[in-house]
Amino acid sequence: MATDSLRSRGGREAEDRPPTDRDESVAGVDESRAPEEVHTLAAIVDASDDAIIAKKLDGTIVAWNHGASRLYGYTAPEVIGQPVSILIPPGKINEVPAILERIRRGERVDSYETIRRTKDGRQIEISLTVSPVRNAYGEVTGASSIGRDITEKKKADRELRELTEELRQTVAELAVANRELEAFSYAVSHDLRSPLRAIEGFSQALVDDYGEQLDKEARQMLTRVRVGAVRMGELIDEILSLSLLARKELKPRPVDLTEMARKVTSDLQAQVPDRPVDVVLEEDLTAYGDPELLRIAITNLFENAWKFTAECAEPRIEFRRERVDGRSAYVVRDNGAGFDMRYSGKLFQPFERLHREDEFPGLGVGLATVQRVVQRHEGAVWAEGSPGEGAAFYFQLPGRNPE
Amino acid sequence: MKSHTILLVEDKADDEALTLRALERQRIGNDVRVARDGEEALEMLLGDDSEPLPELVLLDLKLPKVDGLEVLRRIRADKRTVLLPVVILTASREESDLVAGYANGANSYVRKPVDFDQFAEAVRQLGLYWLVINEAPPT
Repeated sequence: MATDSLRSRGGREAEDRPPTDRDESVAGVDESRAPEEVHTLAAIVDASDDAIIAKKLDGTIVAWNHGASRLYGYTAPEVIGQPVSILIPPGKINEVPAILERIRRGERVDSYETIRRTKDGRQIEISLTVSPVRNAYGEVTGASSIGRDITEKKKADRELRELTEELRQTVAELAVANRELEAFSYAVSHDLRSPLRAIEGFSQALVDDYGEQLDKEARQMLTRVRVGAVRMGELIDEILSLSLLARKELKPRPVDLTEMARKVTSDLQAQVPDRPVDVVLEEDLTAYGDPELLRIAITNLFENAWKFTAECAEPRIEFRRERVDGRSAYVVRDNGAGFDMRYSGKLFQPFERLHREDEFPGLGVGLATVQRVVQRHEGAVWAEGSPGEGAAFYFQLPGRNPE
Repeated sequence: MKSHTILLVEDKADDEALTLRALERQRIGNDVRVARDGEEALEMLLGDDSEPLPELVLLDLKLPKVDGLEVLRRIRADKRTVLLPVVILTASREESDLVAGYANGANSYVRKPVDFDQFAEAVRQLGLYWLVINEAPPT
């Protein structure tokens, strides 16, 4: 039994040596009370989860704890007296003399990662710490190794490396995709507009040069051709803007949303001076985000509100912070045409519209743009509305949001 | 002898026709020469010393053979043409083109609108500014 052998060694040495020849007590053990103290120490060693093995300098196993039994599968009687080489797989056999040599010199081998072999022939990965064992005179008489099974840890490390490599590759692929998207957007911006200009320009030329030979209906048809071409140009621009939003690098910093809203609403008011809109802005609404993108979102939200209050007798738009479900959210509220909540799912889709072109003009990208900006900031946007009773657009921007 | 020509550098036939049409409205249609790629443009400007230089270059960016920015660079690199007014007239609104255009010495950058009336108005203003109001550099 492991505990017996340790105890017997300690006990024999305590009897053999006269007290005056000893250097220091070992492991704080009061050797006058040696048997009980050693018994305690031995129990501690035995109970350890790590494999603790003591060897003579020639490699013979002299002590074997419970942890070692669990790790290697051998019981103490099966291994005590055997050479430690029974635990070494063929490829690693040279380690034993090397380690023992260092031990002989009084050196410690620390956290040495290697492979050992169990009773049933399995190979396990372990981390070994081997220390010299000295007698009471300081002479190295053997080695004590503490081994920890790191097979699981090694497996986890390998998996982590694989995942990291996969991640690295995915990032590289994304970078390529982004560059391709950039090039594509550029091509679209340039090449699609050119035929549009031809369609528009030559339709106009027809009217200018042959107008007298064309009847009113013909001229109207040409007008519709031209309008179609111009509108397509606008659609292309919007698609490009949306795509740019997805690609642009975020440069977040504290942003005063109230100030931003003030400028945007003042510009909007200047564009339609004969239709005053009552604008209420809560003061000091700050957020943390990319100022350019947030400006685009704020502009779109207020343009939307402006547009849908166009037929209101007393249009009113508010910008506040409110608590929704326990969290803080910004809201742009108007008392305009509103919308049917049944279609709220389409509200933020690009090019989806909830009103006819002749009711309210627009391409249907404004809210998709807002959503994209908010999503880039890892926030959320949603809306509530009622036909004829206005709409409220809420958005949250996490990340250093002053609550 | 001072010329009053414009050199239009434009590869697409439709765009050429529309630009000329817009210029004709301003009665400067007769004084326009057209180069249909970068190489031709450089040949016209730097090739023959006996040919007078135009007063203004309207330069598209996407050109075959030698592209617009390279043409611009070579114009600025040659002491005969370093002061020549160059207006970039292009479909692109990409910031990178804008920056590159100005960085390489363009005097102005105009984006071609789809709407022809708007385009014609832009051309009218360009003609008025560059050929009438602006003092051209001495040749």
